[in-house]
Amino acid sequence: MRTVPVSELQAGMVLAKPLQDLAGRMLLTARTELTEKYIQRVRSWGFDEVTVEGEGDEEEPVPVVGDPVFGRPWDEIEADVRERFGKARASALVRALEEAVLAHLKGLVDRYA
Amino acid sequence: MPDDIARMQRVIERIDRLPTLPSIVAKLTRLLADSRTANVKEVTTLLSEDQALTAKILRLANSAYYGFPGQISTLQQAVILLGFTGVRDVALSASVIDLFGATGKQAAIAELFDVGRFWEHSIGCAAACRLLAAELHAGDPEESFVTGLLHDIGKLIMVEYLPDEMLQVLRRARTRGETFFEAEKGVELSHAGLARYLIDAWNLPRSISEGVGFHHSIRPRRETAPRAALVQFADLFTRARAVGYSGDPFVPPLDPKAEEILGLERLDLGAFIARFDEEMLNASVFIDLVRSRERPAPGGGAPRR
Repeated sequence: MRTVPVSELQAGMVLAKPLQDLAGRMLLTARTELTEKYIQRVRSWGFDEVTVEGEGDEEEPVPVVGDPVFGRPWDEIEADVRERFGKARASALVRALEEAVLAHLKGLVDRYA
Repeated sequence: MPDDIARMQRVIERIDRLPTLPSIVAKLTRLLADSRTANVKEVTTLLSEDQALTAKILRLANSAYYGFPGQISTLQQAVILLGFTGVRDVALSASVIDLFGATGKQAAIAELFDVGRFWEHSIGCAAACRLLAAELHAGDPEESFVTGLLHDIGKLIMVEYLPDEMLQVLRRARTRGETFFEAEKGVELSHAGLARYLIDAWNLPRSISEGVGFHHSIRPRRETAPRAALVQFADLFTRARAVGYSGDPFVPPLDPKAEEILGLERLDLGAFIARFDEEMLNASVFIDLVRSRERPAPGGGAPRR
């Protein structure tokens, strides 16, 4: 694991830690392989440096919370959520939770992706 | 369903050696359960007999999760700041993760059930329990955390001691699109019943053993029903948020009794999701504990999705 200035990031590097904004929202999950598109975003989010995996290091991966959101079309994300709620919609509260989870994920996507 | 428990008791009696808590933790639980007179010195003296455990307690107590990051350098401070039961809960959490952290020796099981992701789910459920307990005034948050951490421990008992049955349940869930809970009924097993039996054997408080034991079958008249309801919703929520994996990808149905007991209509779901995400960042110290116990399973773990 090593810390690299954003100007020196290269496609193919793998994030060793998740990138979060100041409020702790997940921008990119750990173990994301950086593409040019991602590197541009990391720059536009204003990071100075990020931690990437080094060769041969057996670093402990950092946890990933929830659905992978970035780099995926919204339809696919939504379909995943809808599918897993399929057994639980008898409850109005769970239906509300389904919509709240979708709104949360949509917020992440709209804001950062 | 009482038959469930009786049957699980018979199943578990076939198992020669149940996992035991470190003797220090067992002594500590007894000390705190039996007497109202425990004092700081007694507790710290006892814990300091186990240096590895002491190190883990200090590491957890110093994490952002407990609100005193980097401020606790001695056991005595930990006991004073976290309280007796707080320290017991930290010790329990560390020990349980240690005890089961690295199971999963069968490649066929590991392919369907990744122990690292199982713990991620358990830690997520624990964090949700703790937040919900505080938010809904539904019992002690730290003890709720431990209950959530242990809620599916029965599945690890199955991995370890009933691997054939476990594989059958996992395959059935996968091929039929069932939840783990639905699939285990097909082979007459109950992970909640197994866990309850184990937790009772560990002499932990009934609120923990019944909170775990009845999280799929709320018994509203029991004193411990709020804890079981809390676990049921926290489990559901953790699955809704897709944190970790515990044998199937589904959000399970919510028992209306759980909703009523907890007064869940009071919960602002959107705000709760945001707080949960934050809480999970703080809880990464627990995930680190799991990772430090993990050995790579032969053939690798299950794919992430």
